[in-house]
Amino acid sequence: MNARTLTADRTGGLIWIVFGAAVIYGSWAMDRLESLGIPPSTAPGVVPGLLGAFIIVFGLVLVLRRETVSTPAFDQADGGAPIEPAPTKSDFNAKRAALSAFLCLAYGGALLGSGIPYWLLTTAFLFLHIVLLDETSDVPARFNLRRAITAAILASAFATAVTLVFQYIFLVRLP
Amino acid sequence: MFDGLVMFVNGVAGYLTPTSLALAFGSTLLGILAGCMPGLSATLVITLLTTLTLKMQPNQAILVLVCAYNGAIYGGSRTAILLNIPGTAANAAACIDGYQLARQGQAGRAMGIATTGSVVGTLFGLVCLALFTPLLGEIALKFGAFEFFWLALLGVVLSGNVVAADPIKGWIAGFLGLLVAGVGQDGMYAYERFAFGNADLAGGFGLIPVLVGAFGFSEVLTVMSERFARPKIMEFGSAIPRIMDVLKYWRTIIRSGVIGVWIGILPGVGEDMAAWSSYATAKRLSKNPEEYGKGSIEGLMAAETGDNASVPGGIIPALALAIPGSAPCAVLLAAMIIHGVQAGPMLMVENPQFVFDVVAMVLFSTLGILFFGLFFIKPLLKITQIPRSLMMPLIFVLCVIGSYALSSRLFDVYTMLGFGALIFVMRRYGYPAAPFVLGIVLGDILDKNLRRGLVLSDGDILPFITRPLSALLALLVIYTFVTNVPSVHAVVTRWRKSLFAGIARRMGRA
Repeated sequence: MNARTLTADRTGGLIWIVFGAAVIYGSWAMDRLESLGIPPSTAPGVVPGLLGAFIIVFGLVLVLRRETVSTPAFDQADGGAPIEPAPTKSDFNAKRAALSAFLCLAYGGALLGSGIPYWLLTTAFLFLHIVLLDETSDVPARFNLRRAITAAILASAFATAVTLVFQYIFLVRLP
Repeated sequence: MFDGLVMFVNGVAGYLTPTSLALAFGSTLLGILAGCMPGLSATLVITLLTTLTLKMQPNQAILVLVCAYNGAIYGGSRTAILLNIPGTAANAAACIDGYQLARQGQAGRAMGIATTGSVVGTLFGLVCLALFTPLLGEIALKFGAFEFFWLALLGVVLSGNVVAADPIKGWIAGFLGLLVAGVGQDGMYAYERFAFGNADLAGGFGLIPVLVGAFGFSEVLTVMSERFARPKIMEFGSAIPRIMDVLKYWRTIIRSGVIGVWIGILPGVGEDMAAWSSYATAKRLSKNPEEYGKGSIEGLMAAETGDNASVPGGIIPALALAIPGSAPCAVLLAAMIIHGVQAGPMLMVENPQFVFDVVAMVLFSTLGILFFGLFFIKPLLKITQIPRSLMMPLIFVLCVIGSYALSSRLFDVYTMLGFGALIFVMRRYGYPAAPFVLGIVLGDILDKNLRRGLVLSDGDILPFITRPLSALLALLVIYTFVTNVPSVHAVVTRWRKSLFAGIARRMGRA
């Protein structure tokens, strides 16, 4: 059993307990609409409150159990449960993930709708993402003129195509 | 029965137009290509296509989604066989023997087997879809609020149990999805739950932006966080299947078809479980179990028949009960709602033709799989050579514009980004995305039916456990929870093993 995974599970369990408690509090504080004469068992907070309680129970199991549970791939072939593929620790490159997330959040979460034309912003995002993150593990990637030219052509062509399709075919007013 | 046949013929005839045929075969090809690309799941493809088909006629939009779904589940077998990387989670079982066959210089034969298995599996599922959807719809007319509550809960609990390596984490993801579905005005009294005075939150989170985030943005981040190299494809010969391979394993094909459809029907379980269960059962009942894992034709046939049979299988409860059989079906169901198709028990009463239209759609996608699978192998594999660092930002741009285009508001983009980042982090710690998505789709059904049931019973919870069907569903939910207690699990596993051993002995004697 991996001690690090167990610690992560326990930390996660504590977070879920706090979250579940907050949900129960929020559900309890909801109006029970007694003035409308509705039965208390159908008040709006009933279902979220029950779900919050279940999340607390599951969180408690994560905190209290002594070992992690996993279904190794070879068990699956013998009839065990299949698992949704999750990246393994050795594959994970935190820097790549952080840079990609930063670019995506800056584009979609901060700059979109700020007044910069959609096609220009999209071209810039695609160009930067392709140039800064390539197939190597260098973060950011080393500058490569050929890749930069490919990125510029691909970014401008794709951004133009998306702009035209959504604006003139789907009649969407772009942000 | 005869009515069904007439409606099926009408359904096929309705799509025999150049536009519909082009859409059917084009989207099947697109699905196969996406399935070939590791990192592009079937759910992601359907979610993105849902946003791109919003302006289409409902029947044509659903045609595109069904064909792409079926194509993607098949397409993943290519990379499983040639690269030992499952294109989608459903093809993981095909890696075991498919890749071994490829290493023995039989990649073409393996791909032929995969194509045959997928086509036969889908056709078997298609027949079940046509036969069982009306039947299930008729039974479902007798369901009340009590039964629908348990069905919704069973979907989330089953999905959490089988999709996650750790069921507790699967259940947390599922219950979180149920909770997220409850944000905004509730379905009974229009009370704003967890809106904090925000007008956007009061409207609730849009289903499609959440799905695009969960399967699009989180997938982009997951793929970008991995080291990757351009895969080398090994040489292979003809992929035309041998008749003997099909005839020799007809029992395996039928058995895997039955397992695939059955697992497809189970709410929230999905194609990957269908493939693994078909594979495991074929291995247990095989005369040559020692060949499994070393390049068994039978094993590959079982896995590929099982996963594709579960595609129409998963559509059965989605149409008849509005309870999706898998994560891609959840997206399909959401797309139907957006296009004004009201799935559920009343569908067979109000719009029975639609069910047979879907059967026709599955038939067209199967023909597409057969055609592209046998004759377009090498061009299809070029897609695996496209660097993922080029592909992922393009997909992200589609995620953003697809979320925005639904109702032209930036809140949907923020929803997509928020849930995408959340699911990315959760997946890193072993919490799966599929139960979360099931929870979001089923949240409204669970909430409304629990409260409706309580109104009907005047606050009494007894009808939830005393009505025969409710009691059965409640027992299934409790069984799923309880069998995850280690000591109970050990007893059940021992019992199951002895049962399978008994069946294998009997079959050996026969």
